[in-house]
Amino acid sequence: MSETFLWEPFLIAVLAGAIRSGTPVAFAAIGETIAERAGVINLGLEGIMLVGAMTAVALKVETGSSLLAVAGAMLAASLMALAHAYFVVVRGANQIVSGLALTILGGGLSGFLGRPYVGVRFDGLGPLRDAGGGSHGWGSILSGQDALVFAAMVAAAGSWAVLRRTRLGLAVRAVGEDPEAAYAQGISVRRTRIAAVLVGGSLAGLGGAHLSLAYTQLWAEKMTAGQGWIAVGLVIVSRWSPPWALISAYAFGALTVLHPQLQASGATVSPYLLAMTPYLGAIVALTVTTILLVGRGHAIPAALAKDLQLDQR
Amino acid sequence: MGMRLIAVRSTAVALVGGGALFLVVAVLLRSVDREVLPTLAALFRNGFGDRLGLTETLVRMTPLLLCAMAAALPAKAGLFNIGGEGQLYAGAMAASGVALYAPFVPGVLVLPAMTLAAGLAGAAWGAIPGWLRGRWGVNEVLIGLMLNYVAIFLVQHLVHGPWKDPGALGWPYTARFAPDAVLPTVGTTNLHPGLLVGVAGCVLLWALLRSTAWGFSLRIIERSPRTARYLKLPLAGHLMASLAAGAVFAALAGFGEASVVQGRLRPGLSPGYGYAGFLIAWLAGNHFLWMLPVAFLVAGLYSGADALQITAGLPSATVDVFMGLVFITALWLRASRVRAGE
Repeated sequence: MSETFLWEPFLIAVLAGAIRSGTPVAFAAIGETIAERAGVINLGLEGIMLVGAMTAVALKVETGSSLLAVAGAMLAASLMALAHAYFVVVRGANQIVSGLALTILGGGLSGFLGRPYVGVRFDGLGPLRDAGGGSHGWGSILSGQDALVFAAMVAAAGSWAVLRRTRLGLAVRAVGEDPEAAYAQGISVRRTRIAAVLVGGSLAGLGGAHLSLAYTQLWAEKMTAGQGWIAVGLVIVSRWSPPWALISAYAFGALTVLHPQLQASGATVSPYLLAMTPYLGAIVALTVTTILLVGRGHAIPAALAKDLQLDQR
Repeated sequence: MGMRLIAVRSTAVALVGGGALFLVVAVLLRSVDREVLPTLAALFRNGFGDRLGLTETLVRMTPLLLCAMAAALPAKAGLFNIGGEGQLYAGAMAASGVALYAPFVPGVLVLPAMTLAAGLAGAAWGAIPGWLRGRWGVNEVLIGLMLNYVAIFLVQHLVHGPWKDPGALGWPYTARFAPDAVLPTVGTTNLHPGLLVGVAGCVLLWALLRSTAWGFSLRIIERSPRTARYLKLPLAGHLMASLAAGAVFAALAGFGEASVVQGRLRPGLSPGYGYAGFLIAWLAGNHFLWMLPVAFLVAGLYSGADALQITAGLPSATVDVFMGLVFITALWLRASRVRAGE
């Protein structure tokens, strides 16, 4: 690289980009943390995010309202999550199979119903405060971000506080650790789990909405490219903690934006090999975390993904 | 609950499930202004109705069956292999490498060398999640899913860069394979020996797993890893080997698609056969003989919906909509059956 390479603007651009492009995954990972704390894995997030992203664009194009677009994305996503909760929690179906089936369905439905919106231009979600063209300092990392970026931070802090500090959070964790004991305490295992999956799904829908409304400002078929599944991996990496889910999602975002940033600064690396790095990063992070957790499994919700045989009322 | 009552209940459940499936499909088709019954009739006709459709269904059945085997074999040891898509692409890449860049291999040996390369690449790709799971307990589902994307980006890199066909004016694919590197086919169709490998492999694996100590060991590992450890079974080795061995079949699917169906390496070799294969295996209860009819029916759905895409102008996502709905309905029916049997 040439001597004139400027580290400061490069770092600022990478950090701002990491936060922006990590936000969809952050929403999904925070939502999945809540569901997994209650004992349910949702691999359907990949399809749920797609449905959220498509619904947001469709509503934005048809109505022009970003608020309606975001709300609709959350609603559509929670309908998908409701299906997962019904199969897994109520009917005792295999969680992996249900998640994968929902991903295929979500990918198909969003592609089928979203076809009229492919490539349609619209006014995407812009910065919350107009920073003005002149702002290039460190402050621009946050000042140029849209409302949903801050919503993800609020969601991380909020779900951490609720899980940690409230009776409701205790109920969610109890159901994920020891459903029989939770039931004996008068907690409805079934209702708590359904609620956790619904909240998790609607957050993934928000992630999808951010992806299409703010980040790419476009709808394209299968545009999540595995981000929903990366989110499930990041939940393990962040040890079922919402704030860490947010941070690890930003790290994922950094790997994603590194490649356009590197290219912009003149490096010659194959863009396809660079596009691979977030997935390789997830593999390494997942492996290292799991190895470190072996024998110290206390962070894992004990009843996670166990077949839900118990008649949970 | 009496047998009779269970039967009545199952029939009712099946009718409700089928009805719901039909209703959703009808609503979706009406939403894009298509006639419901004629479209569904065309779907069936294109998939199973005539010789052309049946041939295409068998062509589609080949990768689907092989990918289902890739999921079912590790499932015998209690593992979930959702990495079939990546293993398929790994096999396709290795076979293509031999086909295009190994001029020293004599003509008659090109196909055996491609088979070997695909098998080894698939085994290696499958051994990664298998080893991580066996040795360290790393979640094989997530590693497999991530490796799917790694494999697809590797293909993208190869066909946009070093392996790009110089004569292909910007199209991302390799040069066409020489005739020596194309598997023999039935007449002018795309039916190739991969289907035979799949069918024979299913029968063989069914027999082997039933009657050998290997099959028995896998069953013990699936039911109770604790017992397996007590019996001093090489747990990690079995987990890795079953995933790697399964992955070989997915890799052969990729070899067949590249060699025959496309005649070259290109992205979009598979419309998600790896994922569909996993669900086919699950639907068949990971039973190697049941997978044959299930793979055939799902393949018919693929070829039927594909033809609809051309004749009725439906979006390419239609296949995924049908697949998703069918699997969701099956999930519902099976969960109901389990509950009714309690």
